[in-house]
Amino acid sequence: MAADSIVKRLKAPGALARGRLADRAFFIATFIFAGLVLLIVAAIFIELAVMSWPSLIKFGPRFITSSDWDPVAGKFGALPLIFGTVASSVIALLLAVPLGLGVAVFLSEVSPPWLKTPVGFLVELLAGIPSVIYGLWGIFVLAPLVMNHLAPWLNHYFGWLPLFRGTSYGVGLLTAGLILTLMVLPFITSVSREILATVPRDQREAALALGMTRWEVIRHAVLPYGRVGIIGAVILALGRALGETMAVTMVIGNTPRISASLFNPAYSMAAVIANEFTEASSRLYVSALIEVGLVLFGVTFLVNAAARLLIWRVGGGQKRARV
Amino acid sequence: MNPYNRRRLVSRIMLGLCAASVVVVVVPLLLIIGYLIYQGISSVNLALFTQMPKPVGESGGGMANAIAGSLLLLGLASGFGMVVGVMTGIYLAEFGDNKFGFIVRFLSETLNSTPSIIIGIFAYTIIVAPMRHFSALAGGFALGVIMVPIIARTTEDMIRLVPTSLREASLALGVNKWRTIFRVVLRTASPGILTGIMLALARAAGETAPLLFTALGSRFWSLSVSEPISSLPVQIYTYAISPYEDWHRQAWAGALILIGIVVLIGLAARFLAARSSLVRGARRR
Amino acid sequence: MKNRVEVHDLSAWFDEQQVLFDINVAIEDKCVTAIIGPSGCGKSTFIRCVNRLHETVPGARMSGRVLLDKDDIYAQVVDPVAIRKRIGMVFQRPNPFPTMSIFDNVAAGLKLNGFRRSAELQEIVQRSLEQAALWDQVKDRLGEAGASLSGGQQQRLCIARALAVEPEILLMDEPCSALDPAATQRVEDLLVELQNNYAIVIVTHNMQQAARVSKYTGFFLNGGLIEFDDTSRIFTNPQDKRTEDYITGRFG
Repeated sequence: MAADSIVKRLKAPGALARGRLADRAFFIATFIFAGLVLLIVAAIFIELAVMSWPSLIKFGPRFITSSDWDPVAGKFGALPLIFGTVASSVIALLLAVPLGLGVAVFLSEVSPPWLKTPVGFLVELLAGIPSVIYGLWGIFVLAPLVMNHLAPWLNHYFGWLPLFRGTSYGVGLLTAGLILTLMVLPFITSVSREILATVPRDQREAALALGMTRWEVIRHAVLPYGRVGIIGAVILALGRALGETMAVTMVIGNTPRISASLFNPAYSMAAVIANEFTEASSRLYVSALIEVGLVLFGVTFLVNAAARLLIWRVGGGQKRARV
Repeated sequence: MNPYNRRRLVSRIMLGLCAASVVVVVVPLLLIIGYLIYQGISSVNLALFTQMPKPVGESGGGMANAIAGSLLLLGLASGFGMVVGVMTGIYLAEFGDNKFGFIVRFLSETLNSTPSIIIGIFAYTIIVAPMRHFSALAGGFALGVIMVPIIARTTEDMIRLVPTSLREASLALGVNKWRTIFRVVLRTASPGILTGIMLALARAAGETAPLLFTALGSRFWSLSVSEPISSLPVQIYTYAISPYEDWHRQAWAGALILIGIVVLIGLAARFLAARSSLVRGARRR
Repeated sequence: MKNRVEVHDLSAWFDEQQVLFDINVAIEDKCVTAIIGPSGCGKSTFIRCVNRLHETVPGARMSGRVLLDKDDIYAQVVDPVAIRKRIGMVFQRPNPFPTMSIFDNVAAGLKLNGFRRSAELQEIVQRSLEQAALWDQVKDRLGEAGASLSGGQQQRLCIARALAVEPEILLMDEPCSALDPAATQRVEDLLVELQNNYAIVIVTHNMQQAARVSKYTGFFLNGGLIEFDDTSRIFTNPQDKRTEDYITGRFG
């Protein structure tokens, strides 16, 4: 009977041997691709280190301690860039962490159900807006707003602080910090929201049963339960802010200078690479820019690694929080 | 004031602050979207899709080459990202419960949060520098590297959601492991994996920084992988920082098109996820 | 009668926990052998060792010998895939492939292994569905999803799927525990039919079921095989006190 023949072929020794070989080949193929991911990360480090070698040996540690970034004179000190990157990120986190947490708490603990979906959707939508569009908005809407309204107001009331001295021309540290705030807010909100959603009901109920007010329940039962996860989320957000390129490039002013006033233009590590890489004329210039990239990569790598390990540890080893 | 009333007051104030933060956050965000739509719609026209850029300083013209370029770059990127991402995801889910798997998973997550401009430098050093000129290939590779970790993670998660019973049903029929994985497990997980691919595409579509010195940009029509190529995000950037009024208008219009593409891909991903029994099951759990 | 499967000193572990202790038993051809015992006694693990499915669970291992027609299936040269083609299995919950039609589900064992010749497949699918007493109910909707069937029909679909690759032994892991009484009845009728061609091992926690369908019954407790005998003897005159306690409902 014809039908028997295919069952027989199915069980033939040849088919089995081929099957065994195929299983082995399959394992090796997936292993190679997984190895490729590892290789890519390693290659990024190696390539950046090799390409920045001329600059590394020429400047040594002075590269990150000198504040003289003058490509025409062949002087490359990255301190102003590091300053700009860190300062704009700090502004962003100072504003975005309390706001983002507030929104997350509101959405998961307080909000009436009909409000959750639209606000949640809006937040998710904003997380997906490309950086260049934030930058576009920053140039044409936020920068004029800062120049004409926010900066004069801050200067009028808080001008005694060095932070708010002088006049703003729109682009500068403050504007960069604000645009970064908007960009990391959706991230902090959605991650915190997911973490708060994992807090078991009985934690809340136990606290309510003790006669706590709603805020006290949040303060003493909900937030402590999610604390480690939230800290992880904040560190991840820091990593994003440090490495954010386009939006910052478009509004920070691109001036390698360290100054106390937030109104002044500044420069960030990512922005200097974005702006100057294709124009870099000498080998040393390119190499210095790549060294900036190496420093940025090193810092974000450490920040992200710390956040990831923290989150995995709470998530129980392999079971990862979906961050 | 007695202590209980004071505590109630504190509770009210703090919850009120949470609500206030929603207002503080939502208003600027609505402003961004509103302004983008307002500026974009008043600037968008047919020429944008059909015409090439006019010479510097002349008004009119369009972004046809940038739209085509973006599509080509995304095509190249998905080719690389899907193969590496899905295969890595399979490895992590099927064989990855060991030290090597942990390291790959960890590095993949780190790669995911690596600044995209760094990926751009990487693509520059290994493709542009040896080839001695900027190319679509380098840009596509950079975007592909950005897609890999997102796809790898969703693939792993989705494969792990496939019930053991299906896998065992197939194994018990005497089906090989690789056929079981490809034709039973992957097929069952495919809507979820496709969702991950779409999310990765949506992210790659908006990336600008890694293209600046890989695909570079171009004012001409090109579909060659070895030539510099224009892309929507880079075009928006170039126009936004230019001094010309008409280019600003086109930047807004381009931004609207870009956000349209990103939102469409995102909605398609959501739709797929909603249809996937696996994802639904995972939510319920 | 001829013994198809012989098990010698079979022990099994999940990580450090031993779940089977030195099992010795023989499975006879062309009849139903029932395995009974309380939950967690190792009965499922036992039959999963017989088709080498136990080892696919991370951390699982075993020792001892399982002979299929006198050949050790755990010998170094033996491919577990080959064993599983000869020893079919039906699971506790019906698990049709959700992405496949009724036809493709039955043909899965062949199609997944790369056979696509439709005329022969058609013949095999029809024969398997007839054997599983499902053909008449589904012959007009073979293209529909396997998941569209009722629970009892799904389980018979899974039986047809196992039969399509023409196994010599059929292992059933509590095949009726997710089914209603009517569906259970149909599967039991089916077992009586099928035993003319196969050696069948059925794991069940339902003692009446074991009594109704099987020729031999083994009683497992805490990972050990306490007693193995003719079904009629086990249920009327058990030799071991623990078996008697179990079948008279004093525990478990």
